[in-house]
Amino acid sequence: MGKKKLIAIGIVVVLGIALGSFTSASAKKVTLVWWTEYHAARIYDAIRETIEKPFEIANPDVDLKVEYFPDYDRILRTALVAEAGPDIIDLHGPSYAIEYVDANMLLLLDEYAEKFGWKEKIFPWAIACSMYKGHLTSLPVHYETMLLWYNRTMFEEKGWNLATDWDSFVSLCEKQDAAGVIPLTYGSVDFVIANSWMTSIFFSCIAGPENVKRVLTGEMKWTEEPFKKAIEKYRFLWQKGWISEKQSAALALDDSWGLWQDKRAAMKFEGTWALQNVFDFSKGFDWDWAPIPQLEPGVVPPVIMGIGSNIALNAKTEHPDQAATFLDFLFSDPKRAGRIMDAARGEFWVPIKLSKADFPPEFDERMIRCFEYMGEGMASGNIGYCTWTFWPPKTDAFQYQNLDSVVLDRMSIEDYLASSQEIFEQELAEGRVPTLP
Amino acid sequence: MPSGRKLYTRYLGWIFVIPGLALYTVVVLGPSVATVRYAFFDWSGLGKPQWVGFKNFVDIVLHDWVFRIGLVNNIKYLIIFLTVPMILGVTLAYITTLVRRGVAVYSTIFFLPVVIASVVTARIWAWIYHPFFGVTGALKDISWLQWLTQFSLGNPDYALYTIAFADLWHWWGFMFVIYHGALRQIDVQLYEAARIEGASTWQLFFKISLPLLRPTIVFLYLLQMIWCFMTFDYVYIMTRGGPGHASELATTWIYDQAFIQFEAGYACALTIYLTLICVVFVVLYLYLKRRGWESY
Repeated sequence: MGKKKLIAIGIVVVLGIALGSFTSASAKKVTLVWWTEYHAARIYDAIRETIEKPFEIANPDVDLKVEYFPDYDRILRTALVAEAGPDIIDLHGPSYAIEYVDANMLLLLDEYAEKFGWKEKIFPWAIACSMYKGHLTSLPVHYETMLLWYNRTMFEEKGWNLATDWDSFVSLCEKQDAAGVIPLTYGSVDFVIANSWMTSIFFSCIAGPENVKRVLTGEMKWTEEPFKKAIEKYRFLWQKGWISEKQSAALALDDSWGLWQDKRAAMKFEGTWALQNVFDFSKGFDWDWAPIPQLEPGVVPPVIMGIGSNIALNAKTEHPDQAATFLDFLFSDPKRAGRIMDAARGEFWVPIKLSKADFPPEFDERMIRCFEYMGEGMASGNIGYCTWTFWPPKTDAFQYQNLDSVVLDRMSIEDYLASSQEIFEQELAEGRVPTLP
Repeated sequence: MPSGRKLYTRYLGWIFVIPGLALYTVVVLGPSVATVRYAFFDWSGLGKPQWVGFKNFVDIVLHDWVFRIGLVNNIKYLIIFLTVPMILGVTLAYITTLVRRGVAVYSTIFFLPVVIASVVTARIWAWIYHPFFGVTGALKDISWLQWLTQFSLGNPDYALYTIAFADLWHWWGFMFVIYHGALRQIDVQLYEAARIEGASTWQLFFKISLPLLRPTIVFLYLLQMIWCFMTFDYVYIMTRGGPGHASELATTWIYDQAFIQFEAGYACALTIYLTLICVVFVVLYLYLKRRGWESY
């Protein structure tokens, strides 16, 4: 055989081996698809920079595709019913996961929890409420609390002080009203679920966390006095015109921020996710947050905790191990969690132990205080309950859908609570109440 | 035995019909049959449905007060839309036929709102009604116009009528165009003969135009009755059925049950009830047609 022929054959063999290696390497690369509900550009960019790229570097055999859609819920539901959909799924909290779990659409995570030690990494209360019928069905990927946001510049200019109890809160609202300022800005026409922010605050801070726990375990009834008082006080504030001048049902969430930006409103009851908006809507004045004041004598205001978003695996995923590895990636590095929290601002607060050193230097001091406030609450055990995390789904839905009927006197408080009790009893019997910490 | 050519002629029509029929079966007939089926099941829309028989239908009648509110609101909507746009449409259509110049301009102006997508119109009107940033908000500072501010989306007593006004603004031009076209079909010699006999303009309207418009009026009334019970977009965009279910319609409640509350089976049962109401209207129309009310 001639020399030239040998060289040509050698080149072909080398190329063939290289091509074969490339093909087999490509064939081994797994594509994981993650559908996320987050679509704000800031959060999406944060996900790409702090999660997607680092995960792919750490796991070169995995190609992570992050996708989001408007009308996310409907598309997700359609995909899962068709036994398709992504490997990794975002949900709006443990309560929302129940329907999917009952339909056997989510992969149970008990084995992976043991393998990766999630019950040690993630806050116990957050893991507890992600359990359903004894199984871990999803992981909490964002925890939050309810706060009172206020226009600090306006308070300083007008000489107002933050309220410490119900009487001083009412007095503050009267002063603000007299000054032509809306005490509390709020809107729910485009997101009636926002009414659950109010039920979360008023039930936990007026009925008290102990009573809330007792009613959610069936030891108390919704019709009892503490819960009636909670709704009465909310109705009182609303009917005084101190909540968006009785127009909350005609205002969208963005409208409420518009009133805030226009300095026509002084305060806002909203969760930590408000950090996404408060920086952008506070041009020209300073803002701050405060804990919810003591709205009921004898009830120490709790730190109202909730899971705003949880992450689960599709029961039909072809790559459960790689998908579970991705889940673990989210909870394994406190510094990465700090970077995500800073970039996403008010979202993606991963419920793992963090210290101040884990946050980037530019992390806003008010966000650090917020994080510390939540930590203190968890350490003290004086926590309240967000309805979207700890209520069974139908009870929560009834309460937020009909809260406007109560303040508009289209439904009595007694009927509201009696119907809540009826619906709750059925869900309790069906085992649909999330596990309480 | 028919010849090949005869067979071809006999079945040629089916070749053109079958594709459309197949599409209709998949997109309309199939889901309709499925809706009837799932109405008898407890189904979240996700997992396996569970047979419950007539429980959904009984629960709707005995316990679902929101659906009752929705139906009552649909009836209010029906009364508004069977009167205002009909009267406005036929009156202005008749007046326009008397105009010598600018008929095309008037027709265009009246019909223009119809061509705007209802989603866009609803959003614009929601902003007009905005209690702080809209026209309604601005009226608060004008003492003699303050009474208008009660027509807001946040007022449970007037929210539905406020929405209906926006929907009317959008929709009445369609009635105008239909009536205008129908009036132009009437033989002008009838009018000339009546004028010779000394008939006034309004006598011409009531004695000639209206009776001859009867087929159009009856048919539009039927369509309007069905459309009023299918209304969804304006309420959903402007108030989502609030405040406190004050503007809830049957369709918005069905949507809520099916897609937000994970009660797909229950929503199917609600849809069956709504369909039965529409069937009543169709039966009424067929009865009137048999009695000759549709013809003149």
